Amino acid sequence: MNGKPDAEAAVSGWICSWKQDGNSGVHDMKECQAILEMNHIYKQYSGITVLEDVTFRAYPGEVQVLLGANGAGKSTLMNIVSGVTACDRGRIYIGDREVCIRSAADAAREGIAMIHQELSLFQERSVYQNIFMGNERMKKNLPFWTDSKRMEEESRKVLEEMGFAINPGETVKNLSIAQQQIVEIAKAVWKRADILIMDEPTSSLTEAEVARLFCLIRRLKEQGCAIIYISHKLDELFRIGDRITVLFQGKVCLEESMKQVTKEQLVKSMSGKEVQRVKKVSCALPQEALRAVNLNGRRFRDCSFYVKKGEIVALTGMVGAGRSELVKAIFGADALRSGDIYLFGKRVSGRPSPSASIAGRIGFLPEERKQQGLIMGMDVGKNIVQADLPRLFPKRILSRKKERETARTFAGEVMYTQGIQRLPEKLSGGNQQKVVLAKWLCTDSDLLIFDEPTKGIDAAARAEIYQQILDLAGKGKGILLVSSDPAEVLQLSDRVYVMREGKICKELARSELTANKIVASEL
Amino acid sequence: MSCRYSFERTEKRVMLVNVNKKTVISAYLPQLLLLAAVILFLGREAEGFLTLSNLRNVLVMQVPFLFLLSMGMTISVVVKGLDLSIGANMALSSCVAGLVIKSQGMAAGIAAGILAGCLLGAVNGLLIAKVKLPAFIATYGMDWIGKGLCYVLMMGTTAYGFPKALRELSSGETAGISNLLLAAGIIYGIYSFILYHTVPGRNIYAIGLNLEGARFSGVMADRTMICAYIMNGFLAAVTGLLYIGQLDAVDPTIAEGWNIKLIAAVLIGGASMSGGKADLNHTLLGVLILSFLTNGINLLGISSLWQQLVIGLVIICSIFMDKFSRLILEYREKQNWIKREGSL
Repeated sequence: MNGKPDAEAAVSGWICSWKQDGNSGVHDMKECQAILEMNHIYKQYSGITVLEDVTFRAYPGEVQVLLGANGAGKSTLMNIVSGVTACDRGRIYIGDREVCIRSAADAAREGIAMIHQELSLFQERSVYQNIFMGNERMKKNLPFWTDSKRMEEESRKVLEEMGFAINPGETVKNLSIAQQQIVEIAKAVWKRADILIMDEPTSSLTEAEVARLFCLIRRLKEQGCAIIYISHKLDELFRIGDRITVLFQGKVCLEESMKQVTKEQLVKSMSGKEVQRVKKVSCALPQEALRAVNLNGRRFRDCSFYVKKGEIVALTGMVGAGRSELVKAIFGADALRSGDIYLFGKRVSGRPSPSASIAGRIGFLPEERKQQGLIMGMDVGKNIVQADLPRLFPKRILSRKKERETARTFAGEVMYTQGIQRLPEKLSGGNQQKVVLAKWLCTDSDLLIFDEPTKGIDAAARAEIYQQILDLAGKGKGILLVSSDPAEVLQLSDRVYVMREGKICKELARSELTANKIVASEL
Repeated sequence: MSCRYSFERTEKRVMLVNVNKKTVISAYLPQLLLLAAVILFLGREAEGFLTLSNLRNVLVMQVPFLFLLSMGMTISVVVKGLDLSIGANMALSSCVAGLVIKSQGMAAGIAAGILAGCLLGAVNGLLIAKVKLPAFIATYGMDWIGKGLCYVLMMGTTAYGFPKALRELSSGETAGISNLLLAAGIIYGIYSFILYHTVPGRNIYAIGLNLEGARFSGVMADRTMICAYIMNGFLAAVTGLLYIGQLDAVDPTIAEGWNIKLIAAVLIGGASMSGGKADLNHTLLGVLILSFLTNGINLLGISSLWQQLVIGLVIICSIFMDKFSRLILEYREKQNWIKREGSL
C-alpha cells in the first residue's frame, strides 16, 4: 500500500487526462453494482498494442463471459486482473475501491482466483497437497508441521460439495486429465473467492462432467460469486452465461446480455467476418482405407472398425474412454498388444511404428499439438517437411532449395500465410494446426487421423479446418476423427463409433445422428 | 528509465554491425565480441601473447584437441544430454590403440582404437535411448567404467615408444599446415555436413528439440540417439589417437579432468542445455575464447589458482550476453514483422 502514491506520482503526467474518465467509470459502477470494474485498460507488449481502451465489468451472482479469437487479448486482460502482468494505463476497482494488483498475492487478497487453462498441478503430490499448495494448514501446537489429516478432510468436503468423487489422498499423476481439471477448479473454489476466473475449464471435460461443473457454477452464483468465464464453445456460453463481452484485436466489440445475442452475431463479431457452416455431402468410396480387427491395448479392448476411402468416421466417447490410445496404437505411437490392422486392403505385418505408418501413408494429427504435433524451435518449413524427409531425399542429403519449395507448396495448400521461416511457438493454435496438416499432406497421406483437431482453436480457424477436412475426404482420403465435441461430430462425420471404457459400444450412421444420441450412448 | 535507455543504445549498436539484415553475424555476435575483447585485452596486457609463436602454440597445439572433443560434447548437448565420459573414452581408446599398435602393428591399432571409442559411444547411446537413463547418469557411470578399463588394460603401467608414422600423424605437416589442424578442419567439415546437410543430422536436432514430436514425425528416435553418441565416441577415439602421437606415450590418466573444460567451451559458445540449441560454429568460438583465456592467464603470470574463477566468470558473462542478444533479436524480429504486416 505504501508504494501506491509513489507509483501514481510517477505516472501523474498522463493520468490527469484519464482522471475524468475514471470518475465517470465510478459513476457507472454505482448504477449497476459491479464487483470488478476495469476502466480503459491499455497494454502494450514491446510496441504491440494488445489491449486498447478495454472496459470490462463483472457482477456478483452472474457469469460474465469473455469471448474472443486467439490473440484477441483475453488472456492478457485476465493476466492483468490476476496480477501476472500490469497494465500500462487504466484503473481497476473492486467494489467501489480502487485497487492496485501487482502480484498473484495481491489478487488473492482482493478475492480473485484464476483457474488456468494449462494444468499447473504438481504431478507427484496428492490431491489435497495440491489444493492447499501455498496455504498449508498447520498443526496447532507445533511449528513447521503441516496437518495432513485436516487438509485431507477439508479437501474431501470441498470436492464433495462440488459434486465430484475424487479421493483427496490420491497422487495427481494417477488421475485422468478431466479429474485433474477438477482438482484445479477445487483449488480456486476452496478459497471462496469473490471473483473466479475460469479459462476454458471444459476443454478436457466430457458432457456429463460439464453438466456437473455448470451445477457448481450455478451454486457459486447463488452464493454471490462473480464468475468470469472464457471459452470457445459457443453452446456452452448460452447455457451458462449471463452477460458477454467480446474482444476483437484488443478492443471490446460487443457487450451485451447473453439473452440478447445470437450465435451468428457472436461468431461474426469475434472473427470480423461471417463464418459459414460447412455443408456435408458424403463422398465415401467403396474401397476400405483402414480396417482394425480385435485390437487390444493399454486402455482399449476388442476394438473392430473400418474407414472407407473418402469417408469421415468419428470416434467419440468420454475422455478416458481410450479413444486417443486406440488411434495412437494404430499409428504406432502407443502399445498394441494384439489384433490385426489392414491398410488399404493389405495386412500390416510386424509391430506398427510411426515411421512404418508414415511410409504406409497414415498421417496423425495428435491432440497435444505442441508436444507431439510440432517440433518447437524448428521453423515452420522444416516442420512441414520433417515427416517426409526419407521420401524427399532418398540419398539422405538435404537440399535447402527443394526443402523450401516443398514446404511453400504445402503451406499454400492449407492456406497458411505466415511465412515458413517463423517459429511455430509464435503462431496461434489455428495456424499451428495448419502446419501440422501441411506436414501430413506433404507425406501424401491417404488416411488421416485427427485427434481433437480444434482443441483451443478459435471459431474462424475452426471453420477453415472443417472445410479442409471435408475437402480431403472429397479427394478420397480416409479420415478418422477423434472428437469430444458433439457439434463437430454432427457437422463432419459420415459414421460414428462411440467408445466407452475401452470398448466400441455403438456404431451410428449419419442418418441416425443427433447430439442427444451421441451423448446418451457415451454415458 | 535508465535501464530502458541503455537497452535502446545497445540495440542501435547491434544494428550498426548488422548491415544488410544479415542475421548470420548477429547470431555469433556475443561470442565474437567476447573473443575480440579477450584478444584485445590480452594483446595489451599480456606480454608475448600476440607473438607468432604463442598464437601458433595455442592454435596448433591446444585448440585442435579441445575442439575435436568439444564437437562431441556439442552433439550430446544437441540431443539434450551431457557427455561426461568423453575424457574416459579418449583415454580408453588411446590405451586400446596403444596396446594393439605395440602387438599387432599400426593399422590394426588405429582400427581398434576407433572401434573402442565408437563402442563406448554406442553403449552410452543404448543406455540413454533404450534403458532410458538420464544422459548425465549414464555417461557419468561410463566415465568410471572407461577409466577403470584403462587401468585394468594397462595394469598400472605406461606404454611408450610408438612407430614414427604415428608420431608423424599428429606432429607432422602436410602442405605447410600442421596435421593436427588439418585433421580438426577435415573432421569439422565432415561433421558440419552431416549435421546441417543430411537427414540424420536434421533428425539429431529434431530429437534434441522435441523427442516425442520427432517420434510422431517418423524419426527413429532411438537409432538417431545411438548414432549421435557413436559420432561422439568416434571423435574421442580420433582425438585419443592424435594425442598419443603427440605424447608418444599412453597412460590411463590421459584427459583427466577434461570433461569440465569441454562443457565450459560449449557453454561459452552459447549453447542451451535444453536441447537442439548448440552448433559447431558456436562451439569453435567457445573453444577459441577458452584457449586464449587460459593461455593469457598463464602469460600474465596470474596464479593458476585464479584460472578457474576467471573461466567461471567468462561462462556466466557469455551466457548473459547470449540471452541479451537473443532478446534484442526477438524484439527486432517483432518490429520488422509489424513493419511488414501492420500488426501481429
